[in-house]
Amino acid sequence: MAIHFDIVRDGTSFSARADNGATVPIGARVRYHNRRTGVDRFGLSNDAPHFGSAEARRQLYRATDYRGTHDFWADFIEPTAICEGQSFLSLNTYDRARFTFGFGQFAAHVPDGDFVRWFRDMLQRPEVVDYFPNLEVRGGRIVKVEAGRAAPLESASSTEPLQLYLNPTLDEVEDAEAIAAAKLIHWTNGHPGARLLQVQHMVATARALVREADRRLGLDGRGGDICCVVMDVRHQGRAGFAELQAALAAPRPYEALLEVGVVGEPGRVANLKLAMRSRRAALAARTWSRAAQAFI
Amino acid sequence: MPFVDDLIAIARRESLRWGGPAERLDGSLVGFAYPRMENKAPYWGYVGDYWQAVGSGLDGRDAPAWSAAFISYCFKEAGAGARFPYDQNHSKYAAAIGSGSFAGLSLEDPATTVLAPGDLIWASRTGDDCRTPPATFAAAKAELRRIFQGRADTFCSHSDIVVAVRGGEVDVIGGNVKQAVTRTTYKLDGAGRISDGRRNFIGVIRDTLL
Repeated sequence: MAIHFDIVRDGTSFSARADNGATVPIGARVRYHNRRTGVDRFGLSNDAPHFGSAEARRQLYRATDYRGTHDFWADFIEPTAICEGQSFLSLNTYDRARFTFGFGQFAAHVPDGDFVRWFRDMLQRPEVVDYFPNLEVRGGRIVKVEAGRAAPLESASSTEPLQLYLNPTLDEVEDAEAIAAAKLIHWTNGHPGARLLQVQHMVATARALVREADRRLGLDGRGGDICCVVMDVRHQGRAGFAELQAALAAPRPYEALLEVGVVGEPGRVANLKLAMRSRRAALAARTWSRAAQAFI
Repeated sequence: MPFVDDLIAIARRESLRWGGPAERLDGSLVGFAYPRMENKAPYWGYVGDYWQAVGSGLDGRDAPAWSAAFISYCFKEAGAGARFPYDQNHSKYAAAIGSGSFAGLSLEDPATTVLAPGDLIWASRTGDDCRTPPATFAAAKAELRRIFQGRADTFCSHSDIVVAVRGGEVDVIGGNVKQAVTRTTYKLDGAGRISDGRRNFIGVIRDTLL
């Protein structure tokens, strides 16, 4: 039966009570100023500076926990996970994606993108009746079922209905937005299978990004450390293939790649450098094979 | 030919009858002729064949979930005879197997079982008119005992037949998966145990029938 969530607001902090039981911290209301448009947007975030409790940090992605299943890929995605907050519960609802969740920052605004693909699989899990009993996957698409009628929430060209379902506006934090966040946090926190699914999707995303970069840049025979930085740049979208190609052609490609996007994203680049410092040697021990479509 | 080879051959034959629809490891779907193939001819007719395996008169244009009928059909076609407890509900045949009454079939913990071709991987699911299913192997075993003793109703679940195992991956074929007979690739851990978050696996039916 569906779990009932009551929203608790304490200043800018939001939490939820599940079935009148324990409180689930959600995050804090934050303001995001768009420098280009001058518009202020409001949403929830549980990134470290905003989060009032250690809840998000309680569910950190660690490669060692998933190496048994995902082998090298568990390590390959770890630097990017660290840069994205590393928390399985990571949340932000204030930017153009309207809803972003997990240590891979799966974002709801991309048709057939990482959030949509992950959420479809979440909706196949049996706990769905506890959290989103009115959502289903039909014909491969997420639909909302009301009074026996199914309304599509996403298609090959748009996720707007899904975005609006999860977060009705960017003008304020609405109950619907806080409840959707509370549900995903509670679900992910309470079910190891849900966390495993998040890892699976992040690995699939990383794999797809490496394959694409290989086609565009030629990564065959390149070390895992090089490929990892390329993947991180593409995952965050801080540079295009031309900049990456130039870095790969530099005398010291690894160092050059680590500088890609540093002007626009200095914090991210600094975090990546730090995350790579102790992991580079292990990642460099394998190379990408185009023939095998794997690190060997 | 060992029984498991016959079982796998039947599952593959049925997959081909449906045109080989598949869900890959990354979740992408290929080979689905329609979004809901089970509603289209000739596919609903195949579902009708599966219903016959459990003695049902349904012709395939009906609402009930048919995945257990598909499993029963595959075992019957493969020549299991009286060695399999045919049923249109997975928890019913799993309860019979879990009771130890069917030599060559046993219920195992998915967390400790290395999968082999011919096994069934069994997952809980929800749906219309489904009660809350057990979430773990231990809870499922307890529920199966109660079902076998007639002290509990069945619950909703799903099984697929393991048709291939390779490094880190397993291919399974099941009925009523994405409204078709679908081959799904799941992730295994390094030891060969199921480790995939797309379903909540609550059991493995080890198949050593000869």
